[in-house]
Amino acid sequence: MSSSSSSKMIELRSSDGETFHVEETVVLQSETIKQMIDDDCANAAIPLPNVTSMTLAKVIEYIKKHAEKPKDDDDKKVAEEDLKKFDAEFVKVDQESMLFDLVRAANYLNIKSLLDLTCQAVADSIKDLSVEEVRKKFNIQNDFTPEEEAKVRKENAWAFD
Amino acid sequence: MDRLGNLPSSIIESILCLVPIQEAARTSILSREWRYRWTKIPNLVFEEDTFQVSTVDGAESSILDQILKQPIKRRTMDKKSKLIYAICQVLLIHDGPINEFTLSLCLSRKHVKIDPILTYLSRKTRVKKLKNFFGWPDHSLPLSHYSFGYLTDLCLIRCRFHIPPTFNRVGSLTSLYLHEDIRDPCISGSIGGPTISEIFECLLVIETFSISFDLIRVFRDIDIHEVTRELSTTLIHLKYLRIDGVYFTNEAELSVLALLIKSSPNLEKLKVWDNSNFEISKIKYCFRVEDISDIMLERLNELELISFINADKTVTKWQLHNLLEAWVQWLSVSRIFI
Repeated sequence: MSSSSSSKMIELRSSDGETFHVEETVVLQSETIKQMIDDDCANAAIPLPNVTSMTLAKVIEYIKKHAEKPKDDDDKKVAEEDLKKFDAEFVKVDQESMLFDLVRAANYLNIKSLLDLTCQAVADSIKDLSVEEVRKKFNIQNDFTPEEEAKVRKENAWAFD
Repeated sequence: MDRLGNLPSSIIESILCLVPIQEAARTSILSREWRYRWTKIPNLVFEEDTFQVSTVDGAESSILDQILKQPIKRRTMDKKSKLIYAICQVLLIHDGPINEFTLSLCLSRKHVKIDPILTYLSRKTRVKKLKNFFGWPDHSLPLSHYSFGYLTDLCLIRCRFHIPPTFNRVGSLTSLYLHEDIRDPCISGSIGGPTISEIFECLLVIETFSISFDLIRVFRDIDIHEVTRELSTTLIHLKYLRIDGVYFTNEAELSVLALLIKSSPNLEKLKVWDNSNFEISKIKYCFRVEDISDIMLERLNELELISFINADKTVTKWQLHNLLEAWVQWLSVSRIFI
């Protein structure tokens, strides 16, 4: 790897054609892109056909924040706290569809910490909801007949106590 | 459009792993498409504390009540029995690999039905992480506990620990936690327990070792004061060593501590909890110079010493002084907590 690699910029192109320039050290958090760079496929702009510019901007905001390195040990504790706060705020998105877009993007780009964070946020949004509430929230059509539903309920009776 | 259902199935499984297992199973009635989705989740967590049961009357019923009501109906079972019943139901319907299995359950003698479940798991699955919390006074773990061939992480809380020949037979274990609730010790005596060599000869690739028993109650050789000076294997992978419950007043225990540290040249983090509630005048032992003189811990970057008798700082400092004096190399340690 060349000595100038720390400041090398990588160009990413979203599905709607917008380009983003990100430092290589930052973008390496994505295993998918890291693999492309390792395979020497990152000389031109990297096309990301599955990620919209809106989602990609969010993802870049996340990986930039997570690439910040604390200077010393004292800073480390403060930085950890700061990062926790950032993560908590980061998943408070206005539209739920954005959260799902982020889950998909994190999965496609293979950024484990972002995938964990967003999956946890989805799980938290489901927790403590009734079945009917989950159906409504995610627009799930109940296609069981009442008899079938009763049967499935009985099959998993231990879960419906 | 079902936004949740449109996610890749591996993601749905990850999300379902993050909600309590009963909630995950309730997704079975969302729609036909959802009926069996939850049965593929790779991490199964059963915790008595979070397990929901509707009837509280059953929880109070004695074993006699239950016998009189034979055959036992599920609704009249107590909570613990319901949890065990749920585990069986889940294992019957589960589809695909199980990577992690967590069971947190305070058992009494009338509930000893765990063995078949563990036997099933060890024989039919490739569980990598096993975490079991049993309040099981004076009860040895079933042997099936030790025959998981693919295990990388084992966490046992409040269980008596024995080393049978089948233990870690493929040598994949990288993380071992043996913990008891210090405030409520339930394990008595180390008779028949393993020696320190026996344990570590089974743990060739161990990276994390954490133990919070009184050592004397785990290792036979401390009990009989015949601690070996040398392990036959060097624990080159061990990075994190935590021992809650060393008696700094006990020569054999200090030897064990020195032996473990000496055998772990790549240790990065060391945490020792002094368990002895002693008076200053009773300190007779410190590390023998020959036990520790050749210890080099070049990678150690975090050292934590905790004493129960924090009020008496002189004792703690006295110990720390001895440690630091003996291990000059530790001066490069970046974090020291006392």
